[in-house]
Amino acid sequence: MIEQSKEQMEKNIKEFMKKHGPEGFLKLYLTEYLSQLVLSELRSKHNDLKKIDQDLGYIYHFEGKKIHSIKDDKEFRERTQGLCKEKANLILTRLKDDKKFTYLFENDASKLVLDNKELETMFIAKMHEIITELSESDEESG
Amino acid sequence: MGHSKRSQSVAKGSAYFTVKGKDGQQKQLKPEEIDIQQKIVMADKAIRICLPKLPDGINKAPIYYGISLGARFLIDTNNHGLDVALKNTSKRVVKEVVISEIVESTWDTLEEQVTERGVGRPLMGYAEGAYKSTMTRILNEGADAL
Repeated sequence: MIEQSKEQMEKNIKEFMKKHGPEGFLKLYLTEYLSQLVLSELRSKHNDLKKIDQDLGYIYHFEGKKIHSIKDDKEFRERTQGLCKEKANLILTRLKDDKKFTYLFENDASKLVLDNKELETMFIAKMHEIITELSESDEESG
Repeated sequence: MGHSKRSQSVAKGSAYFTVKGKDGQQKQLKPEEIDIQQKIVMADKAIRICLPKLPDGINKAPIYYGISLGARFLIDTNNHGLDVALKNTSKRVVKEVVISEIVESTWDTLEEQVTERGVGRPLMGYAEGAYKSTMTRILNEGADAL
């Protein structure tokens, strides 16, 4: 990572906000969040540690007896990010459709506070609703 | 070896993984026979597994905290400049205005506030990772981050 000057960081943020706005941040954040979940799932130990060849963590890192190449790993990560981005877009579309959450897409920080219990509760309920819907449509599409 | 098409079942509890080949036939493959394309299909499968696994209630709150904090910081910087945004979002004084310090100090403020609400890891950890990675990319790459 190349360290940026304070002026450059500010310029980068303004450039990002001008082009993508708060929605761009939401998209990137949700994509990263889902990627973290997926990589964690793939690395998790589902079975007895002694039977390592049954472990998703094992096949995530290995190609036969060799660790898979940097190129393959990069491709895998990029494609996984792509899949997560698709899901993040679906979540955002549904969030945007609900007028209660319009404030998340506006250039106004006044409602973005951590101690507003009402907004937090509404958001949690909405996320639960969206995720349930997406999971059901995933099940239907096989 | 044929590539799998859509998401196929990951046969947990078995030494084999069921995938569909180009000919449409299901095959049982050992882990070492699975190529990168099939791993990608497994990533797709993993998303389907992960989403319904996200617990309900307060455990979904970290997603909200990360969104609120990050969006507020970016909007404040955009409207009033970096100094004002740091003053509004970071409780402690930022010693050095560098990316890691900005990202860490803003997240620390959030963590202080939410720990007492009983939100635990690993879900808080995913939100933290997503927040830090997103903010680092925006601070570094600007509009190209997306």
